[in-house]
Amino acid sequence: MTSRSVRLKTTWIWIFLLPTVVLYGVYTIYPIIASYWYSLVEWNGFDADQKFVGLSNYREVFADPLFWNSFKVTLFFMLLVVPARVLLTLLLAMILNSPKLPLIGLLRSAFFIPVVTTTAIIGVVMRFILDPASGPISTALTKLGFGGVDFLGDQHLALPTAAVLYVWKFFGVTMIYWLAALQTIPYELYEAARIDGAGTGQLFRHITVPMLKPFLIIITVLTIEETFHNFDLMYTLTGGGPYFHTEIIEIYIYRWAFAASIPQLGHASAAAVIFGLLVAVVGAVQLWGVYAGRRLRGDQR
Amino acid sequence: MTGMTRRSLLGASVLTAVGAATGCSSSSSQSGSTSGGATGTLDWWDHFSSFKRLNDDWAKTQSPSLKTNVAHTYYDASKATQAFQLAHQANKMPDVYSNVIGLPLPALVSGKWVHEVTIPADIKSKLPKDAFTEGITQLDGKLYGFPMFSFRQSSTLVWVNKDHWSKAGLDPNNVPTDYTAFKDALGKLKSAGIQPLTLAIGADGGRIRDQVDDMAQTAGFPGYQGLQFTTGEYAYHHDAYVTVIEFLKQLNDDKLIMPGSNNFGVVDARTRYASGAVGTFIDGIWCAGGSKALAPTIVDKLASGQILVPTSGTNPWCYRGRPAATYFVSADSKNPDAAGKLIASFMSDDYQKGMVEAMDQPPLNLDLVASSNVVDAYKKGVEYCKKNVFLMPQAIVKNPSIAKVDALRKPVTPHVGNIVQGYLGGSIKDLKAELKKLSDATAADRAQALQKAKAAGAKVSEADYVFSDWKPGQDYGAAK
Repeated sequence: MTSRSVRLKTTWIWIFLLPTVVLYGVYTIYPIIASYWYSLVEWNGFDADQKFVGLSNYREVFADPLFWNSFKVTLFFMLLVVPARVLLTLLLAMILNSPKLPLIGLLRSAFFIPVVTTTAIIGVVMRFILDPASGPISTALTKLGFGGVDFLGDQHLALPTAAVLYVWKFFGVTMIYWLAALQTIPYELYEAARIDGAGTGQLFRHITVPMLKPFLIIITVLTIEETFHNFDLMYTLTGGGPYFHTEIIEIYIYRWAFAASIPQLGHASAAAVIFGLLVAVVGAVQLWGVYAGRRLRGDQR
Repeated sequence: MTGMTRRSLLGASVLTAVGAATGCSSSSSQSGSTSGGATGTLDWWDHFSSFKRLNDDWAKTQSPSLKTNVAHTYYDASKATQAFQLAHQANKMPDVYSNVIGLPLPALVSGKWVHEVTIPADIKSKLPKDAFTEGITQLDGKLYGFPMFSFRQSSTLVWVNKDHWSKAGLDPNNVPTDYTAFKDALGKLKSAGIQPLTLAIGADGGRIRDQVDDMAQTAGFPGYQGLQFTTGEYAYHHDAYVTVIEFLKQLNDDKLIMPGSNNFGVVDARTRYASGAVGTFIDGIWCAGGSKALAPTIVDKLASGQILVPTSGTNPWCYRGRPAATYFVSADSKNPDAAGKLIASFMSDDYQKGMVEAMDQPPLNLDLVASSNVVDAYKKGVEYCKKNVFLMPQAIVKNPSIAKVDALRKPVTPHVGNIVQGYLGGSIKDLKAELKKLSDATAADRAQALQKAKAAGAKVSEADYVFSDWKPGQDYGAAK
């Protein structure tokens, strides 16, 4: 290939990449760089004046007990959600992967419908369903003699309730990951093991689990990363309450940036940068997960 | 002849798309450059839900007389601030907008948010002298707007459902005023199988914060939002605050507050009241109009009572500051004269009549309410406010430079509303200690703002917050 044709090909590649590069730059790279700058200034977002204050916003964020509360809530939420999402979806995917199961397509779609439903709408609707005075769940519980339960207003129940709804909402995504993973296991392996007299438990322990190990790492890391982005559901369900018990970092940032009477974009940006670093650490683990997964799969081959 | 290859087809498509996009942007930028006032459109944004229909109609009626197309847009109050923030950064501010931004006037002027307005003499003569305050509605003698609502209003009146109260053997036209009698009444509602009371304790806690501030005043707190008038010190840990919050805790523990109220925003709670799901609701004077907008049939069932007091016979006196401008003209307006005339038109008799009938915040001239065609419950609420809500002393009135301090204040959380939520829900065990922490944090925030303002050259001091000559039950420094 001549250097002219190589140059022409490269030019075409860049022409087709240009929209993505421009949009990614404007909507992803620029906001990231801007938030680093805003974290170093005192600015209310209304005024033209941005006063450079160095690391002062970071000092205030680190000194704010409510920031650490939101940090704790975010991590606790992740601990509640990730095992449930990863393990329960694996079980369901195994059931839905069975060729003998009737109505597989319908069932798979049914579990995927919440994924494609707008999260904020789920939040609003669930508030009605979980209403302790007139919601159907509390009405049923009252009829059974248990009394209404304030799922979203009780300090001990609000976060687990949100976690259950989150798992239900995104169940379908992880299930699809697992279904794809399960379909990479050759059916002949199961057949051969059955001929050798292996039971269901043994098939699972000695074939399914070892073959899925690389996927387990990747799916777990992906799920962890996803749980950090839960603003829409949590905000519409609880707004961070009661008394900050469900205030994840994203709501903390929103509160300082938009909900304050005089917004504090510097403080909010500093919290966002710290949160971004947390996500970046998880992202690095994710990369390692992909690498480890590939290595494991390579070893299996 | 060579046929078109896949690559050349794609290339041609890209070039066509780029050409079309360029053409589009060119035409749109041309129309943009002549948009706004020059094209004859006057944009008007506000957050008054009760006035939505009135304002839509008013925009249509004003278009011919202002010789421009007036376009009214309603924004939910909780989203309006964000909408204005984005519009200002994008230089897309409406010509006229409601004052929901939350910045003090000097910051709005220096941030190029507002334009000076000129009000016709006949309109100005309708406004009381107290309507114009240096630092609040005007700066260095330049007027930036005027208030349309009376400061004699309350966020904390008791609204009852006549049918529910009658069913429980209670007199809805004689709503109890003291804590004990009110609690007994709620108990009777509960015994009659009716959800007794709801409050907007959830969301950001902003509404319950305002209500606890009001109730603390009637419980004897000599100040506003934790700030004592005579000493200029913050004292959220004052006994009055503790008394009010302990009362709410008792209602909560006795299950007299509707389950879920801990998570309700204002609209959630008002919807329960308007739909008849609850017998009693503590809300502002605008509850009548707000509930009517949600469920028109509630209007015939409305009855109201005054703000609660701890013991019978206590004066239910409250104190509020001088009102700020209700509307502003944008600094970027292409047609500030027409925008100023639109704002001035809000003081016309027709608009004022429509405003009163919407039963939202009461107008500057409270006498208009008594002679209007509104429900008795609203009239009663306005009458209570007229007699019991007084003008309070304000540092910004004493020294307009305090606006520079206000612009440097930062949010202090948890605030009183959050503390109420935490105490009722069991997250806070030692109420007084938490309120003391709030007093200290608020005082520290004011100190940092004062220090920064002084460093920037403002002549301000803590003494600006001290009003040793304040007396309860009187308007402070009212124009004679």
